[in-house]
Amino acid sequence: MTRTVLICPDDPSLLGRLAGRSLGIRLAPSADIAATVAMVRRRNDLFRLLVETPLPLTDIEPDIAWQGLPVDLAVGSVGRFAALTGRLDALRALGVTVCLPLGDRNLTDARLLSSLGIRTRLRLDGGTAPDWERLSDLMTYALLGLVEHAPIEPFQTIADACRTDGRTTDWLAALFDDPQRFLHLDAEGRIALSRRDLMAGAFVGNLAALDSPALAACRRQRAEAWRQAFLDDHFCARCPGWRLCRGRYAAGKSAADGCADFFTEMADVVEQRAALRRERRLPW
Amino acid sequence: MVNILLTDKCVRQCPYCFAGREMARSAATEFLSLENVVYLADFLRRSGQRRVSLIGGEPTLHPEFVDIVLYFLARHFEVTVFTSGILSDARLAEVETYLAKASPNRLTFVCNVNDPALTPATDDAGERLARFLEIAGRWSMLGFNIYRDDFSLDFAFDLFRRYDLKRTLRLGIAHPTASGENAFLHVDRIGPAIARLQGFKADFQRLGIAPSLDCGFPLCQFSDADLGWLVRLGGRANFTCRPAIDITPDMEVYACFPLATAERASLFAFDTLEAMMAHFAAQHARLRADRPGIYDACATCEHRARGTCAGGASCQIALEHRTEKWVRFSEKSDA
Repeated sequence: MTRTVLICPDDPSLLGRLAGRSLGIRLAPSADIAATVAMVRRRNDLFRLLVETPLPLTDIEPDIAWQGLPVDLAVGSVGRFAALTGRLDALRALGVTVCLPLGDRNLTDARLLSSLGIRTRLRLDGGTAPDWERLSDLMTYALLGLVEHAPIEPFQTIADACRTDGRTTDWLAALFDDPQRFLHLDAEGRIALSRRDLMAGAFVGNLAALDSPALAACRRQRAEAWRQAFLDDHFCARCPGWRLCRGRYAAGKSAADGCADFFTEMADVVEQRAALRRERRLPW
Repeated sequence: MVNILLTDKCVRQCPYCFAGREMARSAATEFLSLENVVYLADFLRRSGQRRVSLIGGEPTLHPEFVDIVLYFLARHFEVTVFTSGILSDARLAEVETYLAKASPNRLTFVCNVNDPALTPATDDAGERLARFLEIAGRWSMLGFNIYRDDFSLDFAFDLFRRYDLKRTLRLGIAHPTASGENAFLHVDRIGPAIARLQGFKADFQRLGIAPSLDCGFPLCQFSDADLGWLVRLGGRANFTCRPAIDITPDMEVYACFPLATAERASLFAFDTLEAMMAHFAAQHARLRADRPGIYDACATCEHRARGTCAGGASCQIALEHRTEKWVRFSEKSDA
């Protein structure tokens, strides 16, 4: 089994209790990153740094301490492109992945950044529904664009992981939300199965339960929750987009909406992409 | 060079404008979207293009004008912006703030100016132009469209004296639209207009300004001495007439504003710029099938045959075709 990654805040007392674990560290842009990394690496594997701020990207000065580290920079928005141009080289050189919520403007900005060689990650996590048509347009650009550009997640992971044999595709890991691989901790060591659960305060245990059979069962149950849609005969389970979405946007819905078209189209795009790659017609 | 229309809006109503009428009837989208900006940058790069012109309307009216300029620069394009130089205070402040580090080697504003005596500006246009040239002068050259043969360039030379500009004056013949309703330079007035231009040689020389002649000038109207003068000043002349690709905010394409009504297509119908150019070159060839140039002598001209000169602009020929057809139709009706 893949080793569990604990996504936790850079709280020294918490980190002191997690020796030997693989860690993703959530921290603010103002944090002393060099010190945190040094401390973590003494006793842990560092999975990623998740630098989080509600501020726009234009307000964040890329930190030289990020050099050589896997950094996800989660911002509220990008801000005005004109104010960002002086930082593009630094963002590219540092290899930062810019994480964005799913607002309309962020879809545009993800495309701009990607076309300029900056990796982005969109929070397609089953929360607020995006403008599906615009998301579909972006997804097509991300996967079929003929000019080289940086990956846009989770599309890249979905396309890479997608199976064409009719099996469903698990891409939650692209958002660090696969409960079999990731657990999210708060500063008190309480455990949530996803980032959304963490934000909502939906905890399933604490540090003492970390390696318990009960938590393992809980994680497995969440990972396999998609099966319930079949048992309930939910219309999502009969949607052609199911094998990519697995009911991620099923909650509270009484009829299909834009998500069905999006995931169905994506399945088609993924197959087109695979064909283009086989024919070596995608230059990247 | 490809021209991208950022918007169909303009702050002026120039009598010679060959774009306004076309844009007013065609553009469904007010402003080019940033998604399409990325698409266009990809499309041009895939076609090996490294230069792009941003036009309008008045391109600086696009709310994200500076962002678009900076984006194309970040994609390593050379950018030319065709503007009236009449900008709001807010937009001018953005230009000053955000474009400050842009290299004049990679960014050029062609500031199209009108002679205030012959084409009076509205309200505070002169003051706004002055403020623009004060701030954006190092990226700017002047452009002037000739639509009558009694023009003066004194006002332009005065601007060159007052501001630190790129030392090039871009001169264009105002061509007719398909309907010929705009003020344009008729074929029989092109010769006198060029003769008029020669009268300003001393000023060009004294101020060290290179004349840059846009498409459609007929080579036969220039003597060898004129051409030598042009070259010695570092000027350029374009005696050819190739399809200039114009892309509208709603991603339609045509070759040259004046021919916009003749044929247009969706940009998405083409994989590359080469395919698009070939499509519209065929349109130009059809136009010239019966009449190769604007003068009768063009039919047997060696320069036209060699491709050194196109024999004037296709839109002049297209207008003549239209007029001839109308006359023939009237005669037939009368009979």
